[in-house]
Amino acid sequence: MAEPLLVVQDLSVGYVQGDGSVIRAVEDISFTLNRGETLGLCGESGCGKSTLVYGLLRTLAAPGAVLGGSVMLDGHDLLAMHDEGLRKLRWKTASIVPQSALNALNPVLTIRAHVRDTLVAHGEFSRDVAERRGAELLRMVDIDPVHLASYPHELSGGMRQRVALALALLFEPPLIVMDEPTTALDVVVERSILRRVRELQERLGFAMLFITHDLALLMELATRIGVMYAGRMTEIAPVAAFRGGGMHPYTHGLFGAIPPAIGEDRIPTSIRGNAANIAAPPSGCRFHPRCDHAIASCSVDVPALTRCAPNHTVACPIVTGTDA
Amino acid sequence: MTRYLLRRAGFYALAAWVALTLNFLVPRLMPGDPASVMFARFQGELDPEAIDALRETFGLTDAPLWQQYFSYLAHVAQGDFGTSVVYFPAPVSEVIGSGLMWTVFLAGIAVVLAFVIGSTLGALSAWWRGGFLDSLAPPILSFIGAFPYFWLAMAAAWLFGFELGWFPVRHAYGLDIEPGFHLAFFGSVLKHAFLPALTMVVVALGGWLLSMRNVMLGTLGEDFVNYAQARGLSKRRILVHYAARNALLPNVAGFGMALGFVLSGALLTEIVFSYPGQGYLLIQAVRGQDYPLMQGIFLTITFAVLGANWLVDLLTALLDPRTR
Ligand SMILES: Nc1ncnc2c1ncn2[C@@H]1O[C@H](COP(=O)(O)OP(=O)(O)O)[C@@H](O)[C@H]1O
Ligand SMILES: [Mg+2]
Repeated sequence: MAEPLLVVQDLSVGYVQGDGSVIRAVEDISFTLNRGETLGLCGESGCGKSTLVYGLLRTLAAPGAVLGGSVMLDGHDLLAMHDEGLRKLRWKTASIVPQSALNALNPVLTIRAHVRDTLVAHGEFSRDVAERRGAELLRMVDIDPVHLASYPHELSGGMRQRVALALALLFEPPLIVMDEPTTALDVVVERSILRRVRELQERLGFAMLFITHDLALLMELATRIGVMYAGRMTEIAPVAAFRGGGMHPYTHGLFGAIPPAIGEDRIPTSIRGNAANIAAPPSGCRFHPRCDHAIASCSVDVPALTRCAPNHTVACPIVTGTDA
Repeated sequence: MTRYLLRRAGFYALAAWVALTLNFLVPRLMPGDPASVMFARFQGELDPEAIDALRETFGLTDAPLWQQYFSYLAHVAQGDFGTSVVYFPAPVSEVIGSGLMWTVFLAGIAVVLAFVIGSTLGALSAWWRGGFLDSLAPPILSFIGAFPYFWLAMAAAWLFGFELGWFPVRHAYGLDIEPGFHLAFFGSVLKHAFLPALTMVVVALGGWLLSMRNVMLGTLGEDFVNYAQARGLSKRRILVHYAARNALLPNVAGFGMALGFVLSGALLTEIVFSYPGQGYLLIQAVRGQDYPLMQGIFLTITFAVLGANWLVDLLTALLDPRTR
């Protein structure tokens, strides 16, 4: 039986502006992630994917702040924890692979120092252990251990992302959050890294929260997919439910925008209009100005995520038939 | 790294050669020949032997220019800058030697202290942005730094020297003390250096503080700081090795400039406190139209600036692996 690892409920995350006003970048998000499972989070750039995951792990840099909701990770109430308790818990229970390892690694420290600093932070002071574990981890991500002595700028983009993956595996946590870990890389390198990620997941059994704007990629990698639009979740379902293109009109749009595979007879289409401005989102359903099926009530009522099949929820009254 | 440093050293050697050559050419190309002016002035006071020595120093023989040039270079290479007029018959190198020692001691310590203390305060101000230190230190120290230095030094000399009598206000050590390796002498030296050093440090603090604070605020917003927090690193480790270490890099160049100008920069201090350093010597040289001494001082200042720049290159290479 699937055992929940991460339970997020009604989470809202925002950015406090200089004038005291708040940009609500992520609004009322709820989902559950089971142990060993991969939940893919998908949505256009700027829809709040990074804000959501950094917010739920409470590692969002100022002026970002969690505005409400609750996050249970492995039995711990993250939003209620004291800073010190959270500091000790976090990397051991949930680690992050950032979008740009180049910016995330300290330019004046070697890879070895990054490994060591992280171990020391969690009470492991032995240099020998750091050396051994560092070499072991680099081998796990297909990097020669001599690069323990390298500085971040001496590595290629792909190697840096692998190093970030190695650091995320340091304590073999039950959850690894990947924030577009391969977006900046070419397809060949991306494929080879993701293959390794999947092998490691099979071996170590961690769950993944995998963020990307590449829906096609998630179809191969994830067990379930959540689609976000302008800070809200629009649809969550197992991958199988998306094979037919999903149910939400926005999901349809995303699938239509995927470039056709070789030999496929299809012209990619784009969703009309521009992505919603998160600082002043449209009323009602935030997608309604761009939606071909929108009716009058869409601009008034905020659609609730509604179950339309076991494990499949959609926030659109038109497709779920809950429209009054 | 060695190649980089050697290349820089080669560049500075070239700059030094240009300075030497200019130092040789300028007096010879100047209208109204400073040497003859000087000879006329000292005709009655100096004995013929001294005048011959002077002529020799200036190389104002009837030999062709290139011959004069090589004999000049040979002299300089041996540390022979000729004979001082004001301190006749002491050789210029000896006169400069003692002045140099006092200036390097006084201003060197002051510049290093100001940089270390100012940068530390700046880093802490940024770390506790809006806190107690941050609301007090920057405005107060910038206010002090805005005073004309001359005025501040006079005020300090008057208050702590004349009125309160806590510190001596002239010379580098008590005239009743025999210089040598004993405690009384060192004590006297420190006591005499205290006020001049204090005034130099106090006026410079504000500048270092503000510049470090500004860079540090930017650094604290970098991904690698956030990523370090996510990995659970201690605040102290992040402050020193992630934020401050990186924020320091742009300030090292400024530190090098300040170090280079130590020799000329202490001029006002040495005048106010009658401190027998390089600046004080320069005033004496100008007053007494002591051209050999002036030239010697200008050359040492040039070399000091070049040397300090090389030191900064070395420091930058040590601190920032990307420059190696
Ligand atoms: N520091 C910030 N201040 C104000 N708004 C921000 C800040 N960082 C991000 N945002 C806003 O939050 C929204 C979501 O950003 P982000 O989570 O990075 O999107 P994604 O990861 O999906 O591309 C964006 O529209 C962006 O404009
Ligand atoms: Mg993002």
